Amino acid sequence: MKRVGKAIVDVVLGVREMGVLIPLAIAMVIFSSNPIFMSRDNIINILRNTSFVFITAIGMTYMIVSGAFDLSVGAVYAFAGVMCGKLMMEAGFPVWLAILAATALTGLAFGGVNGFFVHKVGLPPMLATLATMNIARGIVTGIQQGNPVYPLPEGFAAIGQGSLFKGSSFELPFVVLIAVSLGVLSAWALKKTVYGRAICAIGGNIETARLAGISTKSISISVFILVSALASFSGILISSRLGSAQPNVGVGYEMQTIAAVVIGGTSLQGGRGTIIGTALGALFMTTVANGMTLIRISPFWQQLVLGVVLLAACSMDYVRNQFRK
Amino acid sequence: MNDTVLEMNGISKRFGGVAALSDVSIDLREGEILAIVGENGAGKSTLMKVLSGSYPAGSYTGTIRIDGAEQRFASPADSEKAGIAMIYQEISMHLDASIAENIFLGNLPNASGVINWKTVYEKARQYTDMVGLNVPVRQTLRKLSASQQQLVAIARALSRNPRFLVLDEPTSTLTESEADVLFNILFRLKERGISSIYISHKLKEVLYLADRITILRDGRKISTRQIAETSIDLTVEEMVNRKIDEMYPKRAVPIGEEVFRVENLEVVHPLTNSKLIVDGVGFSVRSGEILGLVGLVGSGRSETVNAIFGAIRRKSGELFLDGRPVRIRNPRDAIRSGLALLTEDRKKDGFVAAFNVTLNATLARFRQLARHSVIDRRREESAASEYVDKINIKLRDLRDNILQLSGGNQQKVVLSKWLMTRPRVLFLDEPTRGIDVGAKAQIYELICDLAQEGIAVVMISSELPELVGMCDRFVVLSEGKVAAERQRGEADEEALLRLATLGMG
Ligand SMILES: Nc1ncnc2c1ncn2[C@@H]1O[C@H](COP(=O)(O)OP(=O)(O)OP(=O)(O)O)[C@@H](O)[C@H]1O
Ligand SMILES: [Mg+2]
Repeated sequence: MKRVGKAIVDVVLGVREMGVLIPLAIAMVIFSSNPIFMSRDNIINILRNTSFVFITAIGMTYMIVSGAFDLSVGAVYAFAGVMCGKLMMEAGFPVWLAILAATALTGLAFGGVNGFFVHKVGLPPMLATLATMNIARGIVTGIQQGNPVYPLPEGFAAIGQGSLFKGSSFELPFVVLIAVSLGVLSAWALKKTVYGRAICAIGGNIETARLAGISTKSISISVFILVSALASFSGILISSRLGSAQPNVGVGYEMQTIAAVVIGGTSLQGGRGTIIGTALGALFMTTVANGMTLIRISPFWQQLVLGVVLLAACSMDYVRNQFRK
Repeated sequence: MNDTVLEMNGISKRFGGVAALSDVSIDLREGEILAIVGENGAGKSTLMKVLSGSYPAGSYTGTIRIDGAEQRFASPADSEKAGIAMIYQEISMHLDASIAENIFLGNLPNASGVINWKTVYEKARQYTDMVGLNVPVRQTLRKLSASQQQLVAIARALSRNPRFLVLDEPTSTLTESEADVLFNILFRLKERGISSIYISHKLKEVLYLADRITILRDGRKISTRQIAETSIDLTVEEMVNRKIDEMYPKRAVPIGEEVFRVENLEVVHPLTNSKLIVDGVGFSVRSGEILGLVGLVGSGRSETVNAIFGAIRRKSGELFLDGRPVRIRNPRDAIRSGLALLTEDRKKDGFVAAFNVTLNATLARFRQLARHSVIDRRREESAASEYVDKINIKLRDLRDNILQLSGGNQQKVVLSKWLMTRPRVLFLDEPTRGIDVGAKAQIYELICDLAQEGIAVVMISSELPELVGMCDRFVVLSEGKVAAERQRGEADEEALLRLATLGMG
């Protein structure tokens, strides 16, 4: 009996990314009180919404593993959606080119600016990205004066709304497919490529990494660009899902993604983390948001829950780090 | 004979399946200095962490008694209350806090909750004066050298007015004169009846300081002897369980062409911009040659090698490889040009604490070990295990976290990281810091092997015997300038020390 207890503790404290499974299970039990929660449509809905968080959280995992973080993702998410919408509707870009251009340009612009101010000027990531968060949000709401870009081309909406095997019990939304592919690719890259190794080394001890010949600055800047590009792409997908590009979308999104990463067991001290953990963390965040709505907790209270969850996850991380010592 | 005041009885401690300590007992008498010696990984630090409550009661078996009363410490704060002050092997202080704050950490003198900073600074000054540290107490720790940080740690322990002082390799980062100050402090404390436990790999100082020596090997106590009844040879033999014939296996190696040269190297002083800490240094080193950079702390020896490697900024200086100028702007360029630098502070910039042994050992080489940018784990592990065998690193598993290794074995992992890059010029800044005698001899052997393979070695050490025993030639630095150059055989320890101190021949 004691052994079983210890094994459970080992799983929770040891295999970090599995720690989230327990609260996830508890949340699912609670929410099942509403039968809709476990319905096929709702599950598909949760998976789809998880994808929007997860795609950016992939970049955020890289970011936190490298020892920094980015608060501007929510604003960049809105910015890219609007930019993509405008490219299609006003500049007449074909859908695929607009998506590509908006992802790349927004990612390069904001990621580049963040990276420049953090790694060349030397600002703390918190300050630099707080500033760009306001700049990005300011530009997009300023240009749109609060109005969405609407309507969007038909072919575009299909990406966010459509599914493989629609209507069957194997229905798989395109965005979930995209998120899973990106997840597999990025998990592999973090663990198995020189780039991933360099990121872990930088987050673990930047001075040791630099002395070992790793180009710490350019790699750190590239991570800023990567997270901005992923946030942009995710923002474009959400505008496709919503059928309009909203300048106000993604408020609080940075907290959602950071929480997903931390709940997924990535250490806030840098140097280690997993994408699978982040996927579970994103699933947890989305499940809680979805379930709370279903059991009729007002959205005004949901933010409180998010805050508590984040606090608990960070404390877990802290305790685990003490425990390791 | 004085009374026994502190006892540890039958202490056993396991990490997972492995026993780090098995049934170890020691006793400490009033006003005594007890030395504990043993190879890397023998369990010295673990035993002291048991004593300090870093490993709380319940995580080990056995008992601790002070004045006959059993103690069960749940944390270091508990043991401090019982009068035990500990100076840990791995300095753990706040780099961004001031010296004064570090000294009084968790113990700031205050009047009903309000901190009187003037008193704090004054008191801190007393303790820094006591240990011979001449730096303003408001300075942050980050700006201090490793030896100065160590002095702060000692000042901090003294500020607790301990009954028992535990020092885990306190002199591994200190210079000889700094160490002398420390020894005098310990002798004075001893007169006041304060007892110390002293851990060191430097057997000479152990024999000079201690009243008794306890030897640990593989987590077991081998013996405890009065100083008068033992010798360095006997101690070494008991520590490593074999005889070490020759400490410095110096071999005559044919010395080839010049491989590397630096000219007119200048580096700005980190604290005062108007001064140079390296002021026009130049030297060269040939293939197969072991060159010793001799100098006191502050002479600019570490800065010289760091600046060559591109780790810190050069104000000026030309570098030549095989007689041709090379551009080295950063460590990456340096490694590409065949340079390697083992830095002096392994915790600060030697290893990545979140990484396991393999990842740390391959850190400067994983790009080459990968195929098309994809990591090949097997290849990495076999590369790492090659060096684990070659320099005899004591570990259970290549995937163990590096923090699970004893200090000396961590150092060996960092060394293998650089050897793995197959450098042409190897700069070693305190290569044997915190390494036991047996392992030291192995590392010297290894350095000789490297020289024989034609690698040019530049070595810095505050242990002069090591330099004199190993080097073919010496460049003496004093106040940032080259003060003298001597061939092997032209200078002994004393002569080198005189040159370094006086800055002239
Ligand atoms: N946190 C830990 N987890 C697992 N094993 C550990 C841990 N700390 C120490 N060990 C193991 O316990 C043994 C004793 O280590 P310890 O640090 O006490 O050695 P030491 O005698 O102080 O060596 P050194 O002279 O190198 O400092 C070693 O084999 C080490 O690998
Ligand atoms: Mg030790």
